[in-house]
Amino acid sequence: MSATDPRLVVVVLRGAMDGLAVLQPYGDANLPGLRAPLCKPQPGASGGLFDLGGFFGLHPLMPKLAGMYQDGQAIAFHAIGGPYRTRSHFEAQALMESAAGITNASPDGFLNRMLAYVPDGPSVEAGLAVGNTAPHVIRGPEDYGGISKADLDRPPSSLMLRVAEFAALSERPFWWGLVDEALQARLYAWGVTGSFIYSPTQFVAEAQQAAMLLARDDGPRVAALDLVGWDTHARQNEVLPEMVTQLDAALGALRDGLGAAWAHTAVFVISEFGRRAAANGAGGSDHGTGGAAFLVGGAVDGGRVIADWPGLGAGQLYAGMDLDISTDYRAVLKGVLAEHMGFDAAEVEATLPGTLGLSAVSGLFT
Amino acid sequence: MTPYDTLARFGYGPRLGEPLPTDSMAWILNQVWVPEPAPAGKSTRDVLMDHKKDKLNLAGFDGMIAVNISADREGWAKHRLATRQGYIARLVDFWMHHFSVGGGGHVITMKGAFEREAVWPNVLGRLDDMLRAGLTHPAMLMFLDNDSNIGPTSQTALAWATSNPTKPPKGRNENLARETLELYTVSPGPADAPHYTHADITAVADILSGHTVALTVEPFGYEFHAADHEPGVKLVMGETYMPGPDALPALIDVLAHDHRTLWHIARKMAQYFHDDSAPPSLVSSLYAALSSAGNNLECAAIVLYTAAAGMALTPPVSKYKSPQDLVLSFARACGANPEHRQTVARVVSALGQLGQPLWAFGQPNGWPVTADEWASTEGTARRLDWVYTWAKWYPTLDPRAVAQVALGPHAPPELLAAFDGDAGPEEVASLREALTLIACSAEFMHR
Repeated sequence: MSATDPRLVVVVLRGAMDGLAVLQPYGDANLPGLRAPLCKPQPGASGGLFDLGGFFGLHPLMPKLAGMYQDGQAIAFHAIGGPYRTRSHFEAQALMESAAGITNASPDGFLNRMLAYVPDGPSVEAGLAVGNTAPHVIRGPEDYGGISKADLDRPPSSLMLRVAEFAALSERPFWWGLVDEALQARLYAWGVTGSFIYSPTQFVAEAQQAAMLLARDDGPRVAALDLVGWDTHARQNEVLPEMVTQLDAALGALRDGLGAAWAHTAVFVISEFGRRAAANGAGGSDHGTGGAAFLVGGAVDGGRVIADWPGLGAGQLYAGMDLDISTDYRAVLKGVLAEHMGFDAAEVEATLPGTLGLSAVSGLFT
Repeated sequence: MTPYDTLARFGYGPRLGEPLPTDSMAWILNQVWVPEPAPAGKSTRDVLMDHKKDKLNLAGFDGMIAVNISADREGWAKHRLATRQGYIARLVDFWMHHFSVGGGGHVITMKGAFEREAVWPNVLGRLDDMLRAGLTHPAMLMFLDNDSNIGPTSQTALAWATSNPTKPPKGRNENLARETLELYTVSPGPADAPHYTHADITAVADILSGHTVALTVEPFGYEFHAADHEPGVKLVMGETYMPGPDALPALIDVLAHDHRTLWHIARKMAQYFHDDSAPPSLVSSLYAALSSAGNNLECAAIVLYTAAAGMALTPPVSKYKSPQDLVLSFARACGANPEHRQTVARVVSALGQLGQPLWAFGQPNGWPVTADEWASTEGTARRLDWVYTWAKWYPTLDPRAVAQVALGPHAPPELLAAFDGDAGPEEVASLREALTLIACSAEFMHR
């Protein structure tokens, strides 16, 4: 083991991140017609996007990630997804995390399979599951370590809205009244205090702890985190800010906490699928297909967006309604395993079975 | 009443992996007739001896005090998670709530022993025995300051006045006397026709004087100090009591049979178990059971169920859960393992996180029992937080199975539909969120 061992962190965003909002293709002329209410102002305007190369813009509440992009340490992917086309969260997450292909998710995750080829430290497992339960992506027969924190977590607003929705259907109005008040109180507080309230969350604390461990010369090398709450069917403009703010703060915490080891780190941020191109009637967006992903870290040859853009025109949308997929996330993972982790072809195939015919996205690292 | 409603309302709810009983009445009667014993734990004497050892340890090691407190709390939670006799345990909780022994110091270390020694043995016994055991237990005597209740003309008070002429005299402490009448037995009664006067309280205090606790010497427990006892005949609500230790059991016997005590207890039970409004017909049935059956709590326990089961429940589940109800019922619905120490400890801390820390009653009148008292904006938000937090410990459960156990016949079809992989945009986005929606449904928040 040495200080310069490669580190890999996978962050799973559960609930389907809206790639069209987080990595907004502001240069696509079809965008405003589909989802003007969900769009942020153009780069340069007040409260506008961070420009990533003239066509895509990063959500304005992600200054840390924008900084990493500026520093050449972040690659953004768009129109990315898996080989599967299900719109079920459970099914898609299981397929993505097990990298099983189109159907039949396996109980072990791809990070667990790769642990077979990453040496353990003298007193610590190479794998680290962050949070109080291990994400599927790292579960499996290979042993891994874990860290957790015992405070109360706070449900994301999208989930609180869902609780209120079901409470409203009940014959017992008492609970609905309580939930509605609690929800209003929290949305109000978040509205007033803005991003301040989003930062001291469990997820950011988890990222800080993970960074401390990964930074050590004799620490773990592969970690899995997950963040629930991206299912923005309603009031997306109120719900999404807390999610992107947490993600941005967590990425910043990883960079700061890893210190010198950041130069040997890659963080892959993925979600099970994207969201519908058009906004829905509830100020949100429904389940879609192609989405966005990020690869960040000091080891990454960043400052670019990789997207073979399918377009948002009438004839270009998948099934007539979704952004299509032009990049398989497993192709990116193949590049990460080969070029960053130093896996040979057999190890890559054992980690990502059935991908021999899939060309890796190469040249992702300096 | 369906087996689901019976377990939810009269127990702590069904447990994942355990089938519901087929016959609700048999479930009640089997445990009333063949109740399981109290969970194991140290006696009052043992915890007081441990307390003394810790305090004598000059290194300042408070090991056994803390160990005993957590062992009692975890024993409580372990029993509630596992028990198939939820009704008995809930009756025990009712009497713990009735006495609401709070406070710190030595009392904290004796709360588990209080439940095991004063409440469990009498929960299906006689009301007079229950009140006697509760009011004279060392935890109660310390909690309401009866250890400093000295008869104003007792030997102790007179000797003190002679040797300390410049200091304030020793005398009555009416705390336990007042609560004995107000909370534990007859209750104050209407303002224009109160059940008792201040003179009655004073007389009860004098009867209680001398009933105290040997904290640091043998017998490490209840003890009568004749020198602290107020001499003379006492008059309480028209009854006379001779001086001496036997006046207290005689007084409790009279109070336990007083019809005002029986109405008070009947009303509290109806409100605690059945409905915030304490329906008069249920209160009357309970009063009749307590008065005609010679103070028999077993009879009251059966009548409480049969009378409540015979009443229409509209809406079908109408008692808003306390934090304790919520934590235990959700933990059981997830199949929480009672042998897993961390799980049990999490249950104990959850009670504190939601504002109902175990046995830490803020007031002698106990925890709130009505929906309006528990309703608060932040309290609601904390419930959602806790449920969401708890849900992450169970990442592999089938949400449909948990919904079946947790909600029984009240599971809303819209909720079940959201756990279907073909639900499209309505599908719940993760297992953790699915469990959260189950426990945060209006149906689950009521019992």
